[in-house]
Amino acid sequence: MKDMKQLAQPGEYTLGDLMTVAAAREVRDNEVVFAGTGMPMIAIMLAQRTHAPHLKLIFEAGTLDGRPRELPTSVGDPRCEVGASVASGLYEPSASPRGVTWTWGFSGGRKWMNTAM
Amino acid sequence: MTSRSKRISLSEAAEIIKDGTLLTFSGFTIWRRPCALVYELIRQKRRHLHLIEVNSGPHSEFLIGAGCVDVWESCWIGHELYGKYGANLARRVRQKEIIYEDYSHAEMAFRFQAAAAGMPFMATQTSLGTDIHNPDYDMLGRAGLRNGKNPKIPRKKYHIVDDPFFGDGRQVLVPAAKVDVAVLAVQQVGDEGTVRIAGQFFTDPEVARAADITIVIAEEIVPEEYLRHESHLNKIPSFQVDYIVECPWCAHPTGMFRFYDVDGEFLRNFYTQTRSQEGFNEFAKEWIFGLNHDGYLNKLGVPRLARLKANTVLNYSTRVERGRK
Repeated sequence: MKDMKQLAQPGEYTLGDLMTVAAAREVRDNEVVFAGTGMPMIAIMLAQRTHAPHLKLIFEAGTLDGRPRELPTSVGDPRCEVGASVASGLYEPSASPRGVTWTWGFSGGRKWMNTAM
Repeated sequence: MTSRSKRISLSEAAEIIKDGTLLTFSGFTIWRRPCALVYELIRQKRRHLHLIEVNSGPHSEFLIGAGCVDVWESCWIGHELYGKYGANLARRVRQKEIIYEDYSHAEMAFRFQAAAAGMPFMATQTSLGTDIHNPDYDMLGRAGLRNGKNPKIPRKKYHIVDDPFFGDGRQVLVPAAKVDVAVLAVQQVGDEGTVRIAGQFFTDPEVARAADITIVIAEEIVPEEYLRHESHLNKIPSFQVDYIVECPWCAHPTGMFRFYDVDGEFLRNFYTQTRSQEGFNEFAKEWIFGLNHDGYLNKLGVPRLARLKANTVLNYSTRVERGRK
């Protein structure tokens, strides 16, 4: 156990920070995760930088198993393509059989219009 | 296709898109949208357009704000982190000045996949159980547009069947997205029409095949032999492209992988300014009317464009400011 003084104390983080860290802790290394723009993207990149460096990150705009160096503006950003196994189109991520290919799907409330897959 | 030159100007390209055209675009949200041509359509006062597209963005907000659009079919519109939603679409929906039809993101991708393959529909389980399939929200049907008069408008919004092959339950059949014209903004096109797209290609190959006429606006027109030397890197064959236009910065204020980043400041200002129609009219007066593409770039200025210019190794700008700290 780390020294408690090194950890963030209540009041030093927001509810959004807490949700992001909680989401990041749900995923394990090598799992396939479909993540949306915003908080899900931050959670997954946190997981990639901590306990899940081989996590397979899928963005709906077409990057498969990307390892972005910096936070993308959205899923269509060239920043998503850095380190990707494949850069493709919208059809490829949409057409992945659910329950077979993905272990997790994280979507933020910000994308409020019909991005339900 | 004959050996005639496919090369035309931006204003000639806009003239091909007549009033009432069913129109779609390359790209995704704030990436690789053909904004230079969209501005030209607004200058030419095009009317009654029927847009049908995957996740929309600033280009359609421009057209909708300018009153060019009667029908919008898509799954999302906005400016990503630079503006939460499409304020111009929202205003015109509230005022009943536009018909909007909702599908999901995956459904729209499948609809273009069907049209690209010449199939009448695709089967999917996405969005089952959501209000997208509520018959009350069949907006084209409610407007009486599913009467077969326009052969490209499907007679139903969707159709649900049981899987006859594997017994895998209910399936939604979504109709092909048949369009008159697709306009693409890409990095490179050959002088015979071969398209090379760098980075994510979104639904560009599908929309090019789905349309009767495909117009490609490119950052640069390059020798066809160059693209044919490594044909595995090309995404759309020459014969699926009818017209080509060379137009640097054609996607601004949206981003172009390897060429330039999104102009977030421009989009944030647009989103803030055009919440009202008066605001949109002021924006259009300043940035669209009375300018051609060169005038537009001149108004943006070299330092601003230089900040947006992509790092050629990383494919995005390392100097542009994103978000707020």
